[in-house]
Parts: sequence; C-alpha cells; structure tokens
Amino acid sequence: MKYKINLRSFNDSGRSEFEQILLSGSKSIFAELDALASDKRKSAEIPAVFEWDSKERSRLDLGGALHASFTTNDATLKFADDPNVWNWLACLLFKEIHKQDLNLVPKIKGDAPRWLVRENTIRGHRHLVLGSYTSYKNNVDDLGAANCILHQDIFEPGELVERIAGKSSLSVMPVVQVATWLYIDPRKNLPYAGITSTGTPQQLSKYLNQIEKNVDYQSMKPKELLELLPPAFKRWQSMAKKNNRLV
Amino acid sequence: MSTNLNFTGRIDLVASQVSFGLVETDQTAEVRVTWDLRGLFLPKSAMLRLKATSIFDTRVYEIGNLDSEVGAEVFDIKSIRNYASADYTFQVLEPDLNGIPLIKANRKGKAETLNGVETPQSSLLETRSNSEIKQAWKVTIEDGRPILDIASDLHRELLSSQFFDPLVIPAVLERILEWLIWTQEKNLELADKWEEFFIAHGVQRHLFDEFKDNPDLTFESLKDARFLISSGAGEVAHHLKTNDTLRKLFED
Repeated sequence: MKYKINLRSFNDSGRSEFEQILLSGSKSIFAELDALASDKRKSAEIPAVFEWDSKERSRLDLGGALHASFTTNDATLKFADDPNVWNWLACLLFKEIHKQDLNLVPKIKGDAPRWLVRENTIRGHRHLVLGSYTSYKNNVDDLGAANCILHQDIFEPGELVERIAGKSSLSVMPVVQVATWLYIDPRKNLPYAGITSTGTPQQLSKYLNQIEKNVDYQSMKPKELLELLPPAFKRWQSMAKKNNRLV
Repeated sequence: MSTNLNFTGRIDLVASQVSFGLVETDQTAEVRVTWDLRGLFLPKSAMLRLKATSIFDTRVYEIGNLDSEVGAEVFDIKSIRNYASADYTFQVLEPDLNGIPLIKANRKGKAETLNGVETPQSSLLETRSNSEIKQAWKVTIEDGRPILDIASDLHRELLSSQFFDPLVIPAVLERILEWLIWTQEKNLELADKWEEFFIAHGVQRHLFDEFKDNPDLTFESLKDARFLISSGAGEVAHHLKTNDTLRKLFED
C-alpha cells in the first residue's frame, strides 16, 4: 500500500483509546485501529505529509520517509517531539507493521513500548516507528555507517537495535560504524551468524559503558575505536578488517 | 578545595567547581558555564568541553585549552530541542601517550535558571569575567553598550550569589545612567530600553528631555545633571530592592 497522508496527533481521548485497544487483545484489532486512526474527532492534523510505500519495509526506508516528512521546513520539525504524533503513526501503521497478519500480533501488555510513546520515555528506541526515525535522523549524514541499526525489517529490530540504538551515545558515530563493521556482513547486508555468542553487541555496549568514565570514545575515529576493543572481539575485528578492507 | 576521585581515577567535579546557569528570554536561550579548577593540578594543555544532551539532541561545544583555571563561557542553546531539560556535561580532556582521549575531570548536571543577570543579545546588562581588572567589578562601555566586568576569581561566586545583583548596586546604575545621558555613540535600541527602565523605576523623565545628547549645557546645568544622575541611580536601586514584583514584570 502506498501512503500519502497528512500526519495527525492524537488528543487525550484518542491516545487513551489507542492504549485500550492495544491492551484489549481484540481479534479485530486491525479494523479498530484503522477506524481510530481515521477518526477526526480523536486527532488533529499537523502540517506534515507522510509518503511511504509499505513494500519498503526496512527501518532505513520508514525512517527516511518520516525524516522527509518532519524536515519539510523548520515549522514541521517540532512535531517530531510530540509523543502523540508517534502514537497516531503507530496506530495508522499497525496493520502494515504486522504484515496484515493477525498471527504476528503478540499479546500486548504493560506499557507496550513497541507501539506506545509516553512523555519522557527512555525506551523510544523500542518503538517500531519512532525508533526507525531516530536511528535514521541521528545518522543522516552517513546512513551506510549506521547500517547495523537501519537494515532490519521494521517488525523485527533485533539484538543490534536493542543494544546499539538503545543509548544515545552508542547510536551515533563512531560506535554505529564500528558495530556495522563488526556485525554486518557487507556482502549480504545481514548480520553474521553467531553474533550473540562471544564479542556480542551486548558486550560491546557494556564495554563502552565501562570505559566512558575515562575515555572520550565519542571523539575517536571509528578505526581507532575498533583497535581499542579487548580480545573478546578479536574474531569480529578480524572479519571486519578483512571484509571491509580496513587494513 | 577538595578533590573527588572516583574509582577510575577521574576527578568528579562538584557544583562549587563547575556550575551551569540557564538564561532565557522570549527570543534567546543560553547556558553559562563557570569553572574554578584551582588546586586540581590539571595540565595546561588539557582541553575543556561542554556537552548538552536532551532527549532529542546532543551538542558539543569546544571551549579551548585550560589556559585559566578559573573562567566562564556562554553558549547559545536555543536550537537544542527541549534545552530546558537538557543535561550538561563539562569535561577536561587530555590524550594519553597512545593518543586515546582521556577524561581527566568531569561534571554532569542540570542548568539552574539565573535570575537578574541576563545575556548580551536580549538583556540590559551584559556581564563577563575579566582577568585583567584589579577591582572586584567595573562598568565599561564597549561597542556603544555598558558591560559589567567582574574579576575572574570572583565571577562565578558573584553571579551565583543571591546577595549580588548588579542592577541594585547604585554605582552600577549611576555609571549606566551617565552613559545614557552623556555618550553620543551608543546602541540606540539598548539605550531606549535603559531609558524605559529608569523611568519605570522613578527617574524623572525631564532628566532625559533636558540633558540627554544636549551639546549646549552650561557648567551649572552639568552639575545639576550630575546630581540628578547620582540621586536617580540611588532611588532606582532602592526601588528595585523594595519592589521585586514590579521589577519582574518589567523584565518579563
């Protein structure tokens, strides 16, 4: 399906109803959310147009489409800070995100961070729509370097997004470039098999969290940071150098 | 001055060593970082940096070398979304022998709103740290506008003290009133603001009508003007001290 639609922001009533439908476990959740997204009493239009082809399902594609919507002019950018724009978008795209397959919709409980954005959330990276936009926006100057958090299908962000996009200091250069070199096979544009065995994305995140007390790693060049990694990452370092011709 | 070393050997700076002040108006938002790193034996070659991190943005401001252990800088943060809730991190950095940038000292915190002292773009009175003046403070005229220079070693303490407010010191107001009356080359927009300020706080309008920019004054009228300026400044200072509500209204 091709979208070309003015973005909207839920009002309190729309936002509340969205949460209720998500948590209801309804068998007609797609239809109910579609109806809510198009109910003009539950949301207000904002001056930003969203254009997206749902066949282009990567986080890069969706993030790029959203980035284009919010950077139309200076006035539109502020709407990207509005949680209820993201909630409305999640409502609008819920069916597409789940490939129009009700069997893919999990039982939603708790604060539902994959679909619901709350004020001052620290888990925005888990939101399937906002997370794609943020990863794209943070690396718009070098999207290839951020391939580790942009290549995934929007429905399945996976371990790399959880560990690398989950912290602002990791989700930008130089860390995204190092993680892309370490974990993404450039020939297949997919993660190497076994990245959750040793020298994992979680270990990378923990290692950088440890050294950040003393090392300003954010100002280092990606190659310098790659060399700084401890022996646990040796296997991935070697493959990164070989497959990305870094030597 | 005490030194807080954390378990990694990095110095954790405290509020008395580094502070962040937020100065906002309708059009501008600035953060003023002040530091006093005396007694920490940090290398002169170390680099200073300020980092502002909000939910949506991170900005890095390079301050320069640690030339002076005491200093202050002001940065425009208006373009940072949600700047009011941003975290500010001040760092002292030095590369090790392998070129790895080490954080020798660090302070992270929120910016406190500074009241009473505003910034050059919007405010009546700009303040700045000056290591060359011998006295505690001095009003100087630069580019047609009055600036309050404060001795570097007192700058942070004075600006963060609730007992110091440059606008209620009669001598500061007197010097500004002199600038307003006598100086030909002045920033007219700022001069109008100051005139409105003085009139709102009790200075007689005829002081400006009669004496401002008038080249034909006699010696006697100059003496009258001098007296009116001096007494007017005193009255304004008194008025501001006793009428905080009115002053806030004016500043808003």
